[in-house]
Amino acid sequence: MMPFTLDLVPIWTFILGVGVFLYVLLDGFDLGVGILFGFAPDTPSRNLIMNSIAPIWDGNETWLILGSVGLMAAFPLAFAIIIPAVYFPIAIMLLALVFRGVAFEFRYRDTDHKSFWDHGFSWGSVIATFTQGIVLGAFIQGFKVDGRHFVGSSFDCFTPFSLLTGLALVLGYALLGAGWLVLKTDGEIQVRARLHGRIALIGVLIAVAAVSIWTPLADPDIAHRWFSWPNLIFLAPVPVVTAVIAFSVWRSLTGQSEAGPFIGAIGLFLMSYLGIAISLWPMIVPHHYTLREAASSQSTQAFLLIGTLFLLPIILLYTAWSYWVFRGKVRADIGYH
Amino acid sequence: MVIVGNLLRRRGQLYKSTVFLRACEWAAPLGFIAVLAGWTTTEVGRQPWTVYGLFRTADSVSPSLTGLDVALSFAGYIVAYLIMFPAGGLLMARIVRRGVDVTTTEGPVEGGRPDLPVIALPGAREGGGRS
Repeated sequence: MMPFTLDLVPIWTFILGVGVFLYVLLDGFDLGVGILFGFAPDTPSRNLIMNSIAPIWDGNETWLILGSVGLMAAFPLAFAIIIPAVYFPIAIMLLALVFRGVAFEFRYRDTDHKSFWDHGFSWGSVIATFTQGIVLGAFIQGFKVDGRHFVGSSFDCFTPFSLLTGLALVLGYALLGAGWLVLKTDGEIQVRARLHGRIALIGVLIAVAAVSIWTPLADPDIAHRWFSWPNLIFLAPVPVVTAVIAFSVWRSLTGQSEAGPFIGAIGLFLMSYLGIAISLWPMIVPHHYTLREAASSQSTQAFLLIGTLFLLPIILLYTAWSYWVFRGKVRADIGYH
Repeated sequence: MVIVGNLLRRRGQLYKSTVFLRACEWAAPLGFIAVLAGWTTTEVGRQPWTVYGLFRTADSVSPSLTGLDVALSFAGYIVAYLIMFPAGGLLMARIVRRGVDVTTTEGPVEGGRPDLPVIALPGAREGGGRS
């Protein structure tokens, strides 16, 4: 028997990497819109802000499911270690998403308690984002592992570093959300979105700088990867490009450009994502297991891949279609509801 | 219910039989009960195995998870659902009490959705609002 073996680990790494990044971008901007929703001054502008994401937000959460199920099926060892380690942030995130998701439907129908559901929406968005940031921070820091199990406590993930990444992600999503609102609205709401975007951008840059300094200080492996020769030269474009993008986002937020802030914010997320990937590659459980070691068997990955290859184009198609159908500015007189 | 409904429809009595309509009302939660009952049956029936015959439930618990952790998250879920379920129930009851809005049945029903924003530009609306 001549075994023809296609190496599936890189393929699954790519699918998961792209899936998680798409989740961060797509749900990122609608969570960010939810964060900024709390700062809107009156009901008409809140209605409009919510309508700008109402038709697409739940499609965006598809990628969260794809990411978590993909991790469980393709890299079960990583799933078994990481998910118990971030038990509380995940549980809190899900509960926050419950409140946020229900608010879309309830605030239109339960007008007696509209402000309750408005708070549910904005606080749900803030808390869901913050807990995702905690997961990210805990992931970068690594977990206490013995053999094939997480052996720390469920509260280990709450550290000063992970609280910082939580705050950073809230600011980052707010920036993405502001970019989306600049794109989808006009008039006073757009002016306010540009202001919020500038505040968020300053916050993001401070937070990203803090994380970028803290990470190599806390982790000699990461410091070695970035600052050893000749990596220093090869990786120098990452911070330089990030700074250039940040400058262009600022310019487009203060200027007239309507698509610039959103595209620039996506660029900033891409650079941060790349930065984290460079720091951790090829580990999926930092310091303990590589992607290959945590992978499920070849046959499992092959079986899953067949289904996924049918599914992914369909998801991408309907996602693209829904954005196409709901393209253009949102207006007060027409909406999804 | 389906068979009886079809028989009544054939006789042209579907909307006239008070007993049947009353029974429909009471049958509404049956699907919900069936789902919960089926779920309970599978979950209880497979114990004490997570993967039947291969992997015991007691061995599949995360080692790091304490009883307190589970109790805390369980309490969180209870609080969230104690808010959500009554709110949803009250809203549904209110919608039912308000009844069907007769005026919306003029013209073709468009699945309860307004015109697509793209097509529903000024001018396109008079065209009869296709969707």
